[in-house]
Amino acid sequence: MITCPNCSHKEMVGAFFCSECGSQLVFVNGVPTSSIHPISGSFQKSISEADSSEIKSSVPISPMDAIISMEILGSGIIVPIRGRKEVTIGRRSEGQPIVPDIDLTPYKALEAGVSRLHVSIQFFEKEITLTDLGSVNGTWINGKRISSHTPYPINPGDLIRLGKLEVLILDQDKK
Amino acid sequence: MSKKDSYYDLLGISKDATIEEIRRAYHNAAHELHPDVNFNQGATELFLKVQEAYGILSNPASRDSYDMELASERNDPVTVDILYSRSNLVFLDEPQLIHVLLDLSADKRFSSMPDPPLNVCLVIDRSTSMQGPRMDTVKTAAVELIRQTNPADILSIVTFSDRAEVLVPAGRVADSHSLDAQIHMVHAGGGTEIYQGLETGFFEISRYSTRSMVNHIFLLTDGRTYGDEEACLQLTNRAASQGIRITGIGIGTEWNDAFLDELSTRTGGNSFYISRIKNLRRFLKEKLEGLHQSFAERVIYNFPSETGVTLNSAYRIQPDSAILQTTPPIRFGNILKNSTLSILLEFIVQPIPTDVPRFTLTRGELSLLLPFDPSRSHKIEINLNRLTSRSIGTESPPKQIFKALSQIALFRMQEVARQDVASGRTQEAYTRLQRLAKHLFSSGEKELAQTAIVEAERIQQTNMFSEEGEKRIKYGTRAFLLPSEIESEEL
Repeated sequence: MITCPNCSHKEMVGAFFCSECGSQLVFVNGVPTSSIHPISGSFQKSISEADSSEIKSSVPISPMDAIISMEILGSGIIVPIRGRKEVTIGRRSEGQPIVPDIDLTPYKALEAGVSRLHVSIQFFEKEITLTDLGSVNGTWINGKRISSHTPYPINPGDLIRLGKLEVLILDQDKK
Repeated sequence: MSKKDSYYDLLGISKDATIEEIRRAYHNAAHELHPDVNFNQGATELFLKVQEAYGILSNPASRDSYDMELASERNDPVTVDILYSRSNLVFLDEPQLIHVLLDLSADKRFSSMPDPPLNVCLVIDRSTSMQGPRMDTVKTAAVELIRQTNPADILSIVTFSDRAEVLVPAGRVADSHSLDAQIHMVHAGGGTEIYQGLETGFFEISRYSTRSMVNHIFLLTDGRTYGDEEACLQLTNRAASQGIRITGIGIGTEWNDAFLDELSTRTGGNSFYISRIKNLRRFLKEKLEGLHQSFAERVIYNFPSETGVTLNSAYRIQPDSAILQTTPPIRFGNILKNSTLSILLEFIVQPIPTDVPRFTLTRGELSLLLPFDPSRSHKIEINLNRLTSRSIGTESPPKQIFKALSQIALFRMQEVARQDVASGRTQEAYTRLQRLAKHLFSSGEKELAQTAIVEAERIQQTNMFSEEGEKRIKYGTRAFLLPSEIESEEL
């Protein structure tokens, strides 16, 4: 039997998702872009309180092994960024063959001109870099537009703009 | 057809496996079967076969000629690709799950075949509740459907309330203008007795239903039928055995989705929820186009029951996401000329005897009929089996299966919530819908998530779903199995 790490429900060996709470039970290479994420306990409340125009938190990625996180400015939402080597950020759309690891759709990404695969963040031993993946509306670091397909180092405190969507890079500990 | 397994079957890989996949499958198999470690009867023989398979498949030139040999030997009109959720079954003292994705596609030789003739019957509910925009749209859709038929197609239209009338008897469309006038004369009024409409529709379609046609009933209703459900299902079985598929189309919120599902899936068809009547015309148009693209009809999967193996659930992932029955024979529906029919099977495997090097899930058979070659049914063997192993592997599951299951997980949560409500476990239903909402939010499905939250709260207060919310969530989560099937909001 497999025990669900989230709700302790028992599932048969070979199950991919918990039938009770929907948590993912298998590991997929890279960071999964799944509809199903592990759930943090306090999240449930925030959703039921949210109204349609404002969603308090929408990407309940467990902060486990997150090195940095990003605050989506204007929304008050902090999304942990984690991954082994590389995390892609963009917005998910129908029929898209490659989906981003972090989907910004809930944060009005489409209206803000975020591309489907906008940027990727790479983790190295000593630094973290950001690469624009050829986005249509461009990427800025601290107000300076960067050229695409070139990695730029980023640090906590940097303000990143994806099209018109602004995010602030945060140190994971300081949230 | 060859009775022996191909080298691909032997290694448990698909025909388009990469060199890397072949190598990995070989290493896994060899590791398990090596005479130094495996003393089971038959293991060494298998080991030698696996070596032989690897010898041929690892060399591109010999693999090419082997593929050609295989193709000429089989000559099946449909290619079956099999993908498993993991490469091994494990020796356990408890049951385990394994998932199999079957991809069925028309052989390229047939991609330019002409459209098959259709034999289509439109069965229209004209009960009082259809009055107004619903009836008007249905009429427009029917008129458009007539325009969309090919000269060789047979069309019939039946309307029903407490009784049924044949509006357009089955036949080729000769004078579409006079049909238009007849359609516009239809008035709504009366109750909803689906059996009346279905029986009359079945009679009309039976007059022409042949093996060389695509026989299909579209049943449009906005209400519940009372007392004649069982009779409807009996009739449905007869339709299915004649190769007639039924698409159930529910309009508005009052209709019985469980019943329409049952009715349609028995025939290999499907049921759909049209929440906005304006979407009906586009929907019917697409469905008819789909029928014209049909390559193989009466696609039926049959398998004998094996001890220790049960089919727990079956889903059609594309082209029309649907929940299939689990007792064989299972009607998969049809295979289109230019797209793949994907079926996901979930098996429960009871503890495996430890002396079995390779475990058979099922030795099944797929039968299908090609409308352009109706003289015989084609049969394709589908052997599902896996090597056995002592330990649970840490391999990453195939992306396609992972993706399908992540969508199915949402659908299942919704199903359990419905069961909770039906058995009065409102608190459980509340919690489950809240969780579902959370997952929906995180996949960007804001609107559906909101619906789930509203329903969760409604259940807490009234102990039941609203008809609309319940259907929205069900068909919404089911549509995830195939993104393009989502009833688009902007149209």
